Amino acid sequence: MTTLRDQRLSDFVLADASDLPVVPPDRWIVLVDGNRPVSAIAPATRLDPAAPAPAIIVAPADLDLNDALASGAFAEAADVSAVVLVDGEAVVGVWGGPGLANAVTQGPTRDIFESVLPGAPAIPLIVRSCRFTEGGTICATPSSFTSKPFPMPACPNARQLSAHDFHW
Amino acid sequence: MADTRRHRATRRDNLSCSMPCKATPGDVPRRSGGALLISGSRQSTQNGFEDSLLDLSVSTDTGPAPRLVLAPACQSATVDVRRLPDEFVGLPTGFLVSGVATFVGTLWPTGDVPAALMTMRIIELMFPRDPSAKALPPARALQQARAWLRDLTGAEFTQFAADNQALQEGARTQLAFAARYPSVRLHAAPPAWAPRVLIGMGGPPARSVAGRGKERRSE
Repeated sequence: MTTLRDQRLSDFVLADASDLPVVPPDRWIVLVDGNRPVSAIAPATRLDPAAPAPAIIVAPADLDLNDALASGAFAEAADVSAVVLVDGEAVVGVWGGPGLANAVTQGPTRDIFESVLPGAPAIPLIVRSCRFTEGGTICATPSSFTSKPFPMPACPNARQLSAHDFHW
Repeated sequence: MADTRRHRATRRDNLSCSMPCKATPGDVPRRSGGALLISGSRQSTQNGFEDSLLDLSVSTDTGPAPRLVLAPACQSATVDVRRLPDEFVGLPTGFLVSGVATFVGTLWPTGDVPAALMTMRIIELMFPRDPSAKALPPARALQQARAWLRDLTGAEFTQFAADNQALQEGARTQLAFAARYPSVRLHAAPPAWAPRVLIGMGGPPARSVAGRGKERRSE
């Protein structure tokens, strides 16, 4: 079984989402809100404060690659910057770049032997920032989803803008 | 064996038959009266869709057997020697015995998008839309399609899908990544492009004779 941990992972540093750092040129920055990863910024990329932070997928590092690729989160990975791998609450790796593009483009395989050992299923989550804008202020409140919801739920609205649904 | 109504076998004419269905080697036809179980392929009044059998010899009863069968998904070209150790049968054998000249199948499963791209390219090379373009024989078409998929960059993938509505809808995520990495060969790894094989006639096919399969079955 090939897991996400077996992919070619990139170096990364953690940074608090409320205190955006200068981006080092050679590694990813994983933005965290408390312990929760909310975005990932590619090497040598500056985050536009007026734009929402890039979406990410947060997945257990030991998740089977095929299961991950077949999940609802990966079905909505079109604008995802990276897959952030976690072990418990700890961030243990970042999977992005051409390696991720290759895997997503090839997609999951329809293997005829799909039996797995019993246990709690691990489900990757897509983490996005709300794109609702009011008076030039973007909401940017991060939320996690197993797949793209319909209809959209109410946004937690961390910046106390007008009440609104989550803007994908 | 699964999948759905959209995976039913389709026979467009007596030239080719494309079946992106899911099948396992053990479900394969016997030499006489062979059939393939297609899951959810027939509409039922009570349960929506139910399984049905695709009779591999049916084409010979209604006209010439298809000259080419494309079964580009799953492991359609593998043979189960565990359950039938004394025999060497599989989908390819079943189709060849029923009169099909050429079978293109898959040795190991790949993703939907590479499978679709490979199939579209093979058909494009064998049956070009441009009447002035030379139609390639199956073996040459397969060889060129494999090389094409192996070398396909993100930009070329985007261009190929530009006028294909089905690809744009079904491969939306893949196309987004292709646009991000226009110079990367996204299917360069052998597991994506290598599994398709041709069994049977690889050259320009002679038109099959009606009833050929029927005659063979009575041997």
